[in-house]
Amino acid sequence: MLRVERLCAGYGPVEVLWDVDLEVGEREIVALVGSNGAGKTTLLRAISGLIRLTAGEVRFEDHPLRGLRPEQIVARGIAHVPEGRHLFQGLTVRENLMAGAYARRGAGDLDEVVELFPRLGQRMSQLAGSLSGGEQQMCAIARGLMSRPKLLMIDELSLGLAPKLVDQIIDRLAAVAEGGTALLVVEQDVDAALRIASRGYVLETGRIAATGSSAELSEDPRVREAYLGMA
Amino acid sequence: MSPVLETRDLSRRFGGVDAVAGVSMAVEEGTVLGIIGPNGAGKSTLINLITGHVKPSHGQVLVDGRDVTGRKPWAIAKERVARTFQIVKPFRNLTVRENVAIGAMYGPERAGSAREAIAQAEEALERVGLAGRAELAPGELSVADARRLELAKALAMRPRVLLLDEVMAGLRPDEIEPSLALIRSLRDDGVTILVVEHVMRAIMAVSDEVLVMHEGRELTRGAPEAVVKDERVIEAYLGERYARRARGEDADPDGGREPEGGDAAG
Repeated sequence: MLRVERLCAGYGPVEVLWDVDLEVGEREIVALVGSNGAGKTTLLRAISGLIRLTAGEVRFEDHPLRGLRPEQIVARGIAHVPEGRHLFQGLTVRENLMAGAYARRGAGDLDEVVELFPRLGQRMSQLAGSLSGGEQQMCAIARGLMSRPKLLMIDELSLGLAPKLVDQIIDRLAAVAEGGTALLVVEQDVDAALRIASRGYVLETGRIAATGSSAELSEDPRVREAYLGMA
Repeated sequence: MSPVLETRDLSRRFGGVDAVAGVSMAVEEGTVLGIIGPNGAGKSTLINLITGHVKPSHGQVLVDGRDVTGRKPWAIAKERVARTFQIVKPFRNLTVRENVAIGAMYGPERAGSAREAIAQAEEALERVGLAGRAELAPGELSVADARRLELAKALAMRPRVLLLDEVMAGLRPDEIEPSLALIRSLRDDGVTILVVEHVMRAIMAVSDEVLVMHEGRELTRGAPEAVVKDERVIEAYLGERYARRARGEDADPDGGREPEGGDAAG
Protein backbone atom coordinates (compact mmCIF):
# COMPACT_ATOMS: atom_id res chain seq x y z
CA MET A 1 0.00 0.00 0.00
CA LEU A 2 2.78 2.43 0.99
CA ARG A 3 6.01 2.05 -0.90
CA VAL A 4 9.01 4.25 -0.16
CA GLU A 5 11.76 3.87 -2.75
CA ARG A 6 15.34 5.13 -2.46
CA LEU A 7 14.08 8.18 -0.62
CA CYS A 8 16.50 10.98 0.21
CA ALA A 9 15.42 14.00 2.22
CA GLY A 10 16.75 16.58 4.61
CA TYR A 11 16.57 20.13 5.83
CA GLY A 12 18.15 22.71 3.56
CA PRO A 13 21.66 21.57 2.73
CA VAL A 14 21.62 18.90 5.49
CA GLU A 15 20.78 15.45 4.18
CA VAL A 16 19.10 13.32 6.82
CA LEU A 17 17.89 10.29 4.88
CA TRP A 18 19.70 8.30 2.22
CA ASP A 19 18.20 5.67 -0.06
CA VAL A 20 15.49 4.59 2.31
CA ASP A 21 13.30 1.70 1.13
CA LEU A 22 10.25 0.82 3.19
CA GLU A 23 6.88 -0.79 2.66
CA VAL A 24 3.65 -1.05 4.58
CA GLY A 25 1.00 -3.48 3.42
CA GLU A 26 -2.74 -3.25 3.94
CA ARG A 27 -3.83 -3.74 7.55
CA GLU A 28 -0.22 -4.26 8.49
CA ILE A 29 1.45 -2.86 11.62
CA VAL A 30 5.05 -1.91 10.94
CA ALA A 31 7.51 -0.59 13.52
CA LEU A 32 10.20 1.97 12.74
CA VAL A 33 12.91 2.07 15.38
CA GLY A 34 16.28 3.77 15.64
CA SER A 35 18.42 6.10 17.71
CA ASN A 36 17.52 9.65 18.42
CA GLY A 37 18.59 11.66 15.43
CA ALA A 38 18.55 8.66 13.08
CA GLY A 39 15.88 10.27 10.90
CA LYS A 40 12.67 8.52 11.93
CA THR A 41 10.67 11.72 12.38
CA THR A 42 12.12 13.12 9.16
CA LEU A 43 10.97 10.01 7.29
CA LEU A 44 7.41 10.42 8.57
CA ARG A 45 7.51 14.10 7.65
CA ALA A 46 8.71 13.25 4.15
CA ILE A 47 5.90 10.72 3.68
CA SER A 48 3.25 13.17 4.83
CA GLY A 49 4.56 15.94 2.59
CA LEU A 50 5.80 18.26 5.36
CA ILE A 51 9.28 18.27 3.84
CA ARG A 52 10.32 17.77 0.26
CA LEU A 53 12.15 14.72 -1.06
CA THR A 54 15.52 15.40 -2.66
CA ALA A 55 15.46 12.06 -4.45
CA GLY A 56 13.43 8.88 -4.63
CA GLU A 57 9.73 8.30 -4.50
CA VAL A 58 6.83 7.74 -2.15
CA ARG A 59 3.96 5.78 -3.68
CA PHE A 60 0.62 5.22 -1.98
CA GLU A 61 -1.79 2.76 -3.52
CA ASP A 62 0.42 2.95 -6.63
CA HIS A 63 0.10 6.72 -7.00
CA PRO A 64 3.17 8.91 -6.53
CA LEU A 65 2.76 11.44 -3.71
CA ARG A 66 5.58 13.63 -4.88
CA GLY A 67 4.60 17.29 -5.14
CA LEU A 68 1.36 16.89 -3.22
CA ARG A 69 0.67 19.22 -0.31
CA PRO A 70 0.22 17.71 3.18
CA GLU A 71 -3.57 18.22 3.14
CA GLN A 72 -3.79 16.47 -0.24
CA ILE A 73 -1.85 13.56 1.21
CA VAL A 74 -4.25 13.41 4.16
CA ALA A 75 -7.09 13.37 1.63
CA ARG A 76 -5.45 10.37 -0.05
CA GLY A 77 -5.65 8.54 3.27
CA ILE A 78 -2.44 9.07 5.24
CA ALA A 79 -2.70 10.58 8.72
CA HIS A 80 0.27 11.58 10.87
CA VAL A 81 0.29 11.78 14.69
CA PRO A 82 3.33 13.96 15.36
CA GLU A 83 5.81 13.59 18.18
CA GLY A 84 4.78 15.82 21.05
CA ARG A 85 1.14 15.49 19.98
CA HIS A 86 0.75 19.11 18.81
CA LEU A 87 -2.85 19.41 19.84
CA PHE A 88 -4.60 22.74 19.54
CA GLN A 89 -4.19 23.52 23.24
CA GLY A 90 -6.83 26.25 23.32
CA LEU A 91 -9.50 24.18 21.58
CA THR A 92 -11.66 21.55 23.22
CA VAL A 93 -11.17 17.85 22.69
CA ARG A 94 -14.21 17.80 20.39
CA GLU A 95 -12.84 20.68 18.32
CA ASN A 96 -9.48 18.97 18.02
CA LEU A 97 -11.15 15.81 16.82
CA MET A 98 -13.28 17.70 14.31
CA ALA A 99 -10.14 19.42 13.00
CA GLY A 100 -8.79 15.95 12.24
CA ALA A 101 -11.77 15.28 10.00
CA TYR A 102 -11.47 18.61 8.16
CA ALA A 103 -9.22 17.60 5.29
CA ARG A 104 -11.57 14.77 4.45
CA ARG A 105 -14.75 16.83 4.66
CA GLY A 106 -15.84 15.72 8.10
CA ALA A 107 -15.33 12.09 7.26
CA GLY A 108 -14.64 10.81 10.74
CA ASP A 109 -17.04 9.41 13.22
CA LEU A 110 -16.82 10.86 16.75
CA ASP A 111 -18.71 7.94 18.27
CA GLU A 112 -16.29 5.49 16.74
CA VAL A 113 -13.16 7.11 18.18
CA VAL A 114 -14.84 7.60 21.55
CA GLU A 115 -15.64 3.91 21.59
CA LEU A 116 -11.95 3.28 21.03
CA PHE A 117 -10.85 5.76 23.70
CA PRO A 118 -13.77 6.05 26.17
CA ARG A 119 -11.74 8.42 28.35
CA LEU A 120 -12.02 11.07 25.64
CA GLY A 121 -15.81 10.83 25.76
CA GLN A 122 -15.70 12.22 29.30
CA ARG A 123 -13.38 15.04 28.22
CA MET A 124 -15.12 16.31 25.06
CA SER A 125 -15.71 19.86 26.28
CA GLN A 126 -12.40 20.18 28.11
CA LEU A 127 -9.56 22.21 26.61
CA ALA A 128 -6.90 19.95 25.13
CA GLY A 129 -4.21 21.84 27.03
CA SER A 130 -5.71 20.76 30.34
CA LEU A 131 -5.56 17.03 29.58
CA SER A 132 -2.98 14.76 31.18
CA GLY A 133 -0.14 13.52 28.97
CA GLY A 134 -1.80 10.18 28.36
CA GLU A 135 -5.12 11.75 27.45
CA GLN A 136 -3.36 14.12 25.06
CA GLN A 137 -1.74 11.18 23.29
CA MET A 138 -5.12 9.45 22.98
CA CYS A 139 -6.61 12.66 21.64
CA ALA A 140 -3.81 13.00 19.07
CA ILE A 141 -4.28 9.42 17.88
CA ALA A 142 -8.05 9.88 17.77
CA ARG A 143 -7.63 13.12 15.81
CA GLY A 144 -5.55 11.18 13.29
CA LEU A 145 -8.24 8.52 13.02
CA MET A 146 -10.91 11.18 12.41
CA SER A 147 -9.64 11.55 8.84
CA ARG A 148 -10.49 7.85 8.36
CA PRO A 149 -6.97 7.11 7.18
CA LYS A 150 -5.95 4.00 5.33
CA LEU A 151 -2.53 4.47 6.92
CA LEU A 152 -1.94 6.03 10.34
CA MET A 153 1.62 7.03 11.22
CA ILE A 154 2.36 7.57 14.92
CA ASP A 155 5.59 9.22 16.09
CA GLU A 156 6.83 8.21 19.57
CA LEU A 157 3.75 6.31 20.61
CA SER A 158 4.63 5.61 24.25
CA LEU A 159 6.54 8.78 25.12
CA GLY A 160 5.66 9.81 28.67
CA LEU A 161 2.91 7.25 29.10
CA ALA A 162 2.34 4.92 32.05
CA PRO A 163 3.15 1.27 31.32
CA LYS A 164 -0.46 0.17 31.74
CA LEU A 165 -1.66 2.91 29.41
CA VAL A 166 0.87 1.86 26.76
CA ASP A 167 -0.56 -1.66 26.94
CA GLN A 168 -4.10 -0.32 26.60
CA ILE A 169 -3.25 1.88 23.62
CA ILE A 170 -1.39 -0.99 21.97
CA ASP A 171 -4.48 -3.16 22.35
CA ARG A 172 -6.65 -0.42 20.81
CA LEU A 173 -4.23 -0.05 17.92
CA ALA A 174 -4.43 -3.76 17.22
CA ALA A 175 -8.19 -3.27 16.92
CA VAL A 176 -7.63 -0.28 14.62
CA ALA A 177 -5.46 -2.44 12.34
CA GLU A 178 -8.06 -5.19 12.32
CA GLY A 179 -10.61 -2.56 11.35
CA GLY A 180 -8.63 -1.99 8.16
CA THR A 181 -6.16 0.81 8.95
CA ALA A 182 -2.49 0.08 8.44
CA LEU A 183 -0.07 1.49 11.01
CA LEU A 184 3.49 2.75 10.83
CA VAL A 185 4.67 3.25 14.40
CA VAL A 186 7.84 5.04 15.51
CA GLU A 187 8.72 3.90 18.98
CA GLN A 188 11.73 4.12 21.31
CA ASP A 189 10.44 1.30 23.42
CA VAL A 190 11.42 -1.38 20.96
CA ASP A 191 10.00 -4.02 23.22
CA ALA A 192 6.56 -2.40 22.91
CA ALA A 193 7.01 -1.72 19.20
CA LEU A 194 7.87 -5.28 18.33
CA ARG A 195 5.01 -6.48 20.48
CA ILE A 196 2.39 -4.94 18.18
CA ALA A 197 4.18 -4.90 14.86
CA SER A 198 4.51 -7.84 12.53
CA ARG A 199 7.59 -6.35 10.88
CA GLY A 200 10.07 -3.64 11.63
CA TYR A 201 12.79 -1.45 10.21
CA VAL A 202 15.85 -0.18 12.06
CA LEU A 203 16.99 3.24 10.90
CA GLU A 204 20.57 4.26 11.73
CA THR A 205 22.10 7.60 10.68
CA GLY A 206 19.62 8.05 7.88
CA ARG A 207 19.85 4.57 6.39
CA ILE A 208 17.89 1.37 6.89
CA ALA A 209 20.33 -0.78 8.88
CA ALA A 210 18.13 -3.83 9.40
CA THR A 211 14.69 -5.09 8.55
CA GLY A 212 12.74 -8.23 9.23
CA SER A 213 9.88 -9.76 11.14
CA SER A 214 9.46 -8.68 14.74
CA ALA A 215 10.68 -12.09 15.87
CA GLU A 216 13.82 -11.81 13.73
CA LEU A 217 14.58 -8.30 14.94
CA SER A 218 14.17 -9.16 18.61
CA GLU A 219 16.72 -11.95 18.09
CA ASP A 220 19.17 -9.64 16.30
CA PRO A 221 22.18 -9.11 18.63
CA ARG A 222 22.59 -5.44 17.63
CA VAL A 223 18.94 -4.72 18.30
CA ARG A 224 19.09 -6.56 21.61
CA GLU A 225 22.11 -4.62 22.80
CA ALA A 226 21.15 -1.14 21.68
CA TYR A 227 17.38 -1.19 21.96
CA LEU A 228 16.38 -3.83 24.41
CA GLY A 229 19.15 -2.96 26.85
CA MET A 230 20.70 -6.41 27.02
CA ALA A 231 23.94 -7.78 25.72
CA MET B 1 18.80 14.03 60.98
CA SER B 2 16.06 16.20 59.54
CA PRO B 3 14.92 15.69 55.97
CA VAL B 4 16.27 18.09 53.36
CA LEU B 5 12.90 18.23 51.62
CA GLU B 6 9.53 17.84 53.24
CA THR B 7 5.91 18.39 52.25
CA ARG B 8 3.04 18.50 54.74
CA ASP B 9 -0.49 17.85 53.56
CA LEU B 10 0.39 19.53 50.27
CA SER B 11 -2.71 20.09 48.13
CA ARG B 12 -3.82 21.86 45.00
CA ARG B 13 -7.24 22.04 43.40
CA PHE B 14 -7.73 23.00 39.75
CA GLY B 15 -11.36 23.87 39.19
CA GLY B 16 -13.19 21.02 40.85
CA VAL B 17 -10.32 18.57 40.58
CA ASP B 18 -7.90 17.69 43.38
CA ALA B 19 -4.71 17.49 41.33
CA VAL B 20 -2.66 16.93 44.48
CA ALA B 21 -4.56 16.04 47.63
CA GLY B 22 -2.74 15.99 50.93
CA VAL B 23 0.71 14.64 50.06
CA SER B 24 3.05 14.47 53.08
CA MET B 25 6.53 13.18 52.50
CA ALA B 26 10.04 13.60 53.78
CA VAL B 27 13.16 12.95 51.74
CA GLU B 28 16.53 12.41 53.42
CA GLU B 29 19.69 14.02 52.15
CA GLY B 30 21.59 12.09 49.50
CA THR B 31 18.77 9.75 48.57
CA VAL B 32 16.82 9.19 45.36
CA LEU B 33 13.04 9.10 45.51
CA GLY B 34 11.39 7.71 42.39
CA ILE B 35 7.87 8.99 41.71
CA ILE B 36 5.56 6.95 39.49
CA GLY B 37 1.84 6.92 38.85
CA PRO B 38 -0.71 7.02 36.04
CA ASN B 39 -0.84 9.98 33.67
CA GLY B 40 -2.79 12.67 35.46
CA ALA B 41 -1.98 11.31 38.95
CA GLY B 42 -0.46 14.65 39.96
CA LYS B 43 3.27 13.92 39.66
CA SER B 44 4.17 17.02 37.68
CA THR B 45 1.86 19.17 39.80
CA LEU B 46 3.66 17.89 42.90
CA ILE B 47 6.97 19.01 41.39
CA ASN B 48 5.42 22.37 40.43
CA LEU B 49 4.16 22.86 43.99
CA ILE B 50 7.57 22.14 45.48
CA THR B 51 9.35 24.56 43.13
CA GLY B 52 6.76 27.33 43.46
CA HIS B 53 5.59 27.18 39.84
CA VAL B 54 2.13 26.38 41.15
CA LYS B 55 0.85 27.76 44.45
CA PRO B 56 -0.58 25.25 46.90
CA SER B 57 -4.23 25.52 47.92
CA HIS B 58 -3.23 24.02 51.22
CA GLY B 59 -0.22 22.58 53.03
CA GLN B 60 3.48 23.35 53.29
CA VAL B 61 6.80 22.84 51.57
CA LEU B 62 9.95 22.81 53.72
CA VAL B 63 13.52 22.89 52.49
CA ASP B 64 16.05 22.06 55.19
CA GLY B 65 13.32 22.66 57.76
CA ARG B 66 12.57 26.16 56.46
CA ASP B 67 9.06 26.88 55.28
CA VAL B 68 9.21 28.06 51.64
CA THR B 69 5.50 27.68 50.92
CA GLY B 70 4.13 30.30 48.55
CA ARG B 71 7.50 31.72 47.55
CA LYS B 72 8.25 32.55 43.94
CA PRO B 73 10.09 29.96 41.85
CA TRP B 74 13.31 32.02 41.77
CA ALA B 75 13.23 32.39 45.55
CA ILE B 76 12.90 28.63 45.97
CA ALA B 77 15.70 28.13 43.45
CA LYS B 78 17.85 30.25 45.77
CA GLU B 79 17.41 27.49 48.34
CA ARG B 80 19.32 25.41 45.80
CA VAL B 81 16.31 23.51 44.59
CA ALA B 82 16.74 22.93 40.83
CA ARG B 83 14.48 21.19 38.37
CA THR B 84 14.00 20.13 34.79
CA PHE B 85 10.87 20.56 32.69
CA GLN B 86 9.07 17.97 30.59
CA ILE B 87 8.72 20.42 27.73
CA VAL B 88 12.18 21.82 27.15
CA LYS B 89 12.29 25.54 26.45
CA PRO B 90 15.90 26.62 25.94
CA PHE B 91 16.79 30.11 24.74
CA ARG B 92 16.88 29.30 21.04
CA ASN B 93 19.18 32.12 20.00
CA LEU B 94 21.84 31.32 22.59
CA THR B 95 24.32 28.47 22.33
CA VAL B 96 24.06 25.34 24.44
CA ARG B 97 26.92 26.63 26.61
CA GLU B 98 25.28 30.03 27.11
CA ASN B 99 22.00 28.40 28.06
CA VAL B 100 23.75 26.50 30.82
CA ALA B 101 25.81 29.52 31.89
CA ILE B 102 22.60 31.40 32.67
CA GLY B 103 21.87 28.88 35.42
CA ALA B 104 25.32 29.53 36.90
CA MET B 105 25.05 33.30 36.44
CA TYR B 106 21.70 33.82 38.09
CA GLY B 107 21.50 30.69 40.25
CA PRO B 108 21.79 30.54 44.02
CA GLU B 109 25.58 30.83 43.97
CA ARG B 110 25.78 33.71 41.53
CA ALA B 111 28.96 33.29 39.54
CA GLY B 112 31.25 36.30 40.12
CA SER B 113 31.81 36.89 36.43
CA ALA B 114 30.71 35.74 33.00
CA ARG B 115 33.97 33.81 32.74
CA GLU B 116 33.23 31.96 35.95
CA ALA B 117 29.68 31.22 34.79
CA ILE B 118 31.02 29.82 31.54
CA ALA B 119 33.48 27.67 33.50
CA GLN B 120 30.66 26.29 35.62
CA ALA B 121 28.64 25.68 32.47
CA GLU B 122 31.54 23.74 30.94
CA GLU B 123 31.71 21.58 34.04
CA ALA B 124 27.96 20.83 33.91
CA LEU B 125 28.12 20.07 30.19
CA GLU B 126 31.07 17.76 30.76
CA ARG B 127 29.14 15.93 33.43
CA VAL B 128 26.09 15.27 31.22
CA GLY B 129 28.22 14.38 28.20
CA LEU B 130 27.43 17.45 26.11
CA ALA B 131 30.87 19.10 26.18
CA GLY B 132 31.35 18.42 22.47
CA ARG B 133 28.12 20.22 21.53
CA ALA B 134 28.54 23.40 23.57
CA GLU B 135 28.76 25.61 20.48
CA LEU B 136 25.54 24.37 18.89
CA ALA B 137 22.17 26.09 19.00
CA PRO B 138 19.71 24.13 21.17
CA GLY B 139 17.51 23.53 18.12
CA GLU B 140 20.29 21.47 16.54
CA LEU B 141 20.30 18.94 19.37
CA SER B 142 18.68 15.52 19.16
CA VAL B 143 15.88 14.69 21.58
CA ALA B 144 18.31 12.86 23.87
CA ASP B 145 20.75 15.76 23.90
CA ALA B 146 17.98 18.32 24.48
CA ARG B 147 17.14 16.37 27.64
CA ARG B 148 20.82 16.40 28.65
CA LEU B 149 20.86 20.17 28.15
CA GLU B 150 17.87 20.46 30.47
CA LEU B 151 19.80 18.47 33.05
CA ALA B 152 22.99 20.55 32.59
CA LYS B 153 21.01 23.77 33.13
CA ALA B 154 19.80 22.41 36.47
CA LEU B 155 23.26 21.16 37.46
CA ALA B 156 24.86 24.54 36.78
CA MET B 157 22.80 25.82 39.70
CA ARG B 158 24.74 23.45 41.97
CA PRO B 159 21.56 22.12 43.57
CA ARG B 160 21.13 20.33 46.88
CA VAL B 161 17.72 19.15 45.75
CA LEU B 162 17.21 18.16 42.13
CA LEU B 163 13.78 17.43 40.68
CA LEU B 164 13.84 15.53 37.40
CA ASP B 165 10.59 15.47 35.42
CA GLU B 166 10.83 12.72 32.79
CA VAL B 167 14.41 13.35 31.70
CA MET B 168 14.64 9.84 30.28
CA ALA B 169 11.45 9.79 28.21
CA GLY B 170 12.15 8.89 24.61
CA LEU B 171 15.66 7.61 25.23
CA ARG B 172 16.91 4.22 24.13
CA PRO B 173 18.02 1.79 26.84
CA ASP B 174 21.68 2.35 25.96
CA GLU B 175 21.13 6.12 26.09
CA ILE B 176 19.53 5.82 29.52
CA GLU B 177 22.59 4.23 31.14
CA PRO B 178 24.72 7.41 31.24
CA SER B 179 21.83 9.32 32.81
CA LEU B 180 21.48 6.66 35.50
CA ALA B 181 25.22 6.77 36.20
CA LEU B 182 25.00 10.55 36.52
CA ILE B 183 22.10 10.38 38.97
CA ARG B 184 24.03 7.90 41.11
CA SER B 185 27.15 10.05 41.13
CA LEU B 186 25.14 13.16 42.10
CA ARG B 187 23.51 11.22 44.89
CA ASP B 188 26.93 10.11 46.08
CA ASP B 189 27.89 13.79 46.20
CA GLY B 190 25.00 14.31 48.62
CA VAL B 191 22.40 15.70 46.22
CA THR B 192 18.82 14.71 47.04
CA ILE B 193 16.99 13.71 43.88
CA LEU B 194 13.34 13.23 42.95
CA VAL B 195 12.89 11.31 39.72
CA VAL B 196 9.51 11.39 37.98
CA GLU B 197 9.63 8.80 35.24
CA HIS B 198 7.58 6.21 33.37
CA VAL B 199 10.68 4.34 32.27
CA MET B 200 10.50 1.59 34.90
CA ARG B 201 13.95 0.31 34.01
CA ALA B 202 15.33 3.64 35.20
CA ILE B 203 13.11 3.92 38.28
CA MET B 204 14.12 0.46 39.46
CA ALA B 205 17.80 1.11 38.84
CA VAL B 206 18.27 4.38 40.77
CA SER B 207 15.52 4.77 43.37
CA ASP B 208 16.23 4.21 47.04
CA GLU B 209 12.50 4.46 47.57
CA VAL B 210 9.53 4.79 45.24
CA LEU B 211 6.46 6.94 45.84
CA VAL B 212 3.40 5.85 43.87
CA MET B 213 0.81 8.54 43.24
CA HIS B 214 -2.76 7.91 42.21
CA GLU B 215 -5.50 10.52 41.83
CA GLY B 216 -3.46 13.16 43.63
CA ARG B 217 -2.66 11.02 46.65
CA GLU B 218 0.09 8.73 47.84
CA LEU B 219 -0.98 5.19 46.95
CA THR B 220 2.05 3.66 48.59
CA ARG B 221 5.72 4.30 49.25
CA GLY B 222 8.51 1.82 49.75
CA ALA B 223 11.46 -0.09 48.35
CA PRO B 224 11.29 -0.42 44.54
CA GLU B 225 11.12 -4.23 44.62
CA ALA B 226 8.22 -4.18 47.07
CA VAL B 227 6.30 -1.45 45.27
CA VAL B 228 6.21 -3.21 41.89
CA LYS B 229 4.76 -6.32 43.53
CA ASP B 230 1.97 -4.35 45.20
CA GLU B 231 -1.35 -5.39 43.63
CA ARG B 232 -2.73 -1.86 43.92
CA VAL B 233 0.23 -0.50 41.96
CA ILE B 234 -0.17 -3.15 39.29
CA GLU B 235 -3.88 -2.36 39.02
CA ALA B 236 -3.47 1.42 38.88
CA TYR B 237 -0.25 1.81 37.00
CA LEU B 238 1.90 -1.06 35.85
CA GLY B 239 -0.69 -3.32 34.28
CA GLU B 240 -0.73 -7.10 34.20
CA ARG B 241 1.70 -7.41 31.34
CA TYR B 242 4.46 -5.68 33.29
CA ALA B 243 3.62 -7.68 36.40
CA ARG B 244 3.85 -10.98 34.55
CA ARG B 245 7.18 -9.99 33.09
CA ALA B 246 8.47 -8.85 36.48
CA ARG B 247 7.45 -12.18 37.99
CA GLY B 248 9.29 -13.94 35.18
CA GLU B 249 6.17 -15.69 33.97
CA ASP B 250 6.54 -14.47 30.45
CA ALA B 251 7.71 -16.95 27.84
CA ASP B 252 10.61 -14.64 27.03
CA PRO B 253 11.33 -12.60 30.15
CA ASP B 254 14.10 -10.67 28.39
CA GLY B 255 12.21 -9.42 25.39
CA GLY B 256 8.81 -9.63 27.00
CA ARG B 257 7.24 -10.25 23.63
CA GLU B 258 3.82 -11.76 23.79
CA PRO B 259 2.81 -14.48 21.37
CA GLU B 260 -0.59 -12.92 20.68
CA GLY B 261 1.06 -9.54 19.94
CA GLY B 262 2.85 -10.89 16.87
CA ASP B 263 -0.38 -11.76 15.14
CA ALA B 264 -1.87 -8.33 15.46
CA ALA B 265 -1.54 -7.57 11.76
CA GLY B 266 -4.03 -9.28 9.50
